[in-house]
Amino acid sequence: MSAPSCLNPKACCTSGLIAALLSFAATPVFSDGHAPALGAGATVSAPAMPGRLLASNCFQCHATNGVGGFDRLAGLGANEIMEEMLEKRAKSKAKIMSVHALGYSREQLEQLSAYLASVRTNAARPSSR
Amino acid sequence: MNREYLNRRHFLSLCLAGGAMLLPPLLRGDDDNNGDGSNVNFALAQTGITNRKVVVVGGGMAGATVAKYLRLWGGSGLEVTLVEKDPAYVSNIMSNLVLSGGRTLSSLNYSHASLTSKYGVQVRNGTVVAIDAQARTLTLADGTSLPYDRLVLAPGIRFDDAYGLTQADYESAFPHAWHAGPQTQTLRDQITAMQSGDTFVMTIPAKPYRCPPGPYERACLVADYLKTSGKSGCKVVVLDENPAIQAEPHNFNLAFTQTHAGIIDYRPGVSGIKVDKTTRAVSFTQGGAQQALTAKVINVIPPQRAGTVVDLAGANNSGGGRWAGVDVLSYASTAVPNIHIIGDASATTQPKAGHVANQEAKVCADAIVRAFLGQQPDPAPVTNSACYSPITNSTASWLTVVYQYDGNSKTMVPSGAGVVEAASISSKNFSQMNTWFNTLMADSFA
Repeated sequence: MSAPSCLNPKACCTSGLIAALLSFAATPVFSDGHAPALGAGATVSAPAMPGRLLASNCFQCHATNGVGGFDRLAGLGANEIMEEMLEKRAKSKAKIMSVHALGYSREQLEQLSAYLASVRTNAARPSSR
Repeated sequence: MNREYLNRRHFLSLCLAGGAMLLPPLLRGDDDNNGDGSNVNFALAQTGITNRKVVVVGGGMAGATVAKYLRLWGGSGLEVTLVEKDPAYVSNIMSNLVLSGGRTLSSLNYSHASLTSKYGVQVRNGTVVAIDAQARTLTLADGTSLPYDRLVLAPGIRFDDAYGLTQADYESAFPHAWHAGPQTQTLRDQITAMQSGDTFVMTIPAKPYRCPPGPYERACLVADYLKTSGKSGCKVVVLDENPAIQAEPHNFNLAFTQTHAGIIDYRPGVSGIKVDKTTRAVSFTQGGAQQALTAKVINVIPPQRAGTVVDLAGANNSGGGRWAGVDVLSYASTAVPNIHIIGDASATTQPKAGHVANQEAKVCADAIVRAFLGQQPDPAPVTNSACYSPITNSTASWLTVVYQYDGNSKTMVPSGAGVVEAASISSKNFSQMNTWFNTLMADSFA
């Protein structure tokens, strides 16, 4: 689906649900680009890369290695994250993510996106969902 | 990715087919929908580092985070010992909500157990009594000697005797409650004992102090409690040594003049504060005029300085001996080799706050790992602050800023949009505040 991803679940999940109700589309249910939560005991690994320290600025709100919090970032593609950040830059400055997107150079955003995309998980999703 | 989405799609279709609307948290509009990462295991990096020892002193926001990330990024051959005097950390963040009855003190306890079980950090309960920077050892009160290759000090702050009050006063009838714990409960009890028409006086020290928005947040929450608990005619007088509100000026001004109008009396530019313990009179000078008022509750937030271990190390070389001067590329002391100081105890251009301390810890951990690999620190580190402040028991504001390293001044400077505060005070911010807090604490302690 080409719809933009969203870092604010409240604003976007309704449209995701409507999309799901309207059609069992061949595209992901979540137009907002969320990856599902990781289950207990999942093991996450990531290589040392230039973007690691930059990306760690995301972890206070998106959890260590980007595995949760406001939105799970780990597992998203580097292009998805990059696109999202560039879109946030163009929006109102009085949003936390807009301020953050504007706070980094484009090269820094590319490095941190590549790092988040490199995070790997080797355990199953939560079984209860 | 594909499998993840398929699973979720399959789940949703099952729900719809069965008519069950047990929607996953994401669809309930719950912000805390992705977990905080505390139940996830993280593999330690394989770096080839062996037999290197780092001792971390202080298990708060900065100390816990640096211990975790030294192991996560340095690997199993980087031995980390965390020395902490208390059995658990009590979060200062959110502790103002204890004063207004919005949270319990026990909900703010964070143990260091996950640092050991998930990352292999060795936690030592103890107090440092000596540091030998030449021999690179520190000594604990029980006589134990701990050798180190690098020492990270994260002791937070301690408080001056000030305005006629001593440490013994703070611990009894005049709690500052600026370090969450027993004093928080004492102050809460004093506030709940207030009756209609009583006055609460708070004093704010000249900057720098821990948590720039914190005092203003506290004034708002005390006012909110007094208003909603039916105590009429109460006043919250704020005596600020600073010339103006130090954080989120627009929203706190709005809170003082509208949300809590008639209760909060904010007085900037105050000097010469003096507390008479017997008469409960607070005298001060404002605009050249000497004034005095008496109060049922006197909440002095005293001037602050780095924890004693910084003095012990001889690293208190900034701010007239109050703080530790550091190189913000690595948080290495500018006074003593092989010692790093992170969090509130260090002197930087960044606010003294838990979220920032967490990021300083990551920059420090990265620099130490690089040093053990024979590399220089990242020459262009970035840090950030993001902080939500409750205005009432159900609404909040926030501020955020990204800092980039400036090679000319060798300091961290706000970049992009600069320091930005929330466009409005809202209940949505309050809800997001809980996601922020839970995730920040898990990134630091789990």
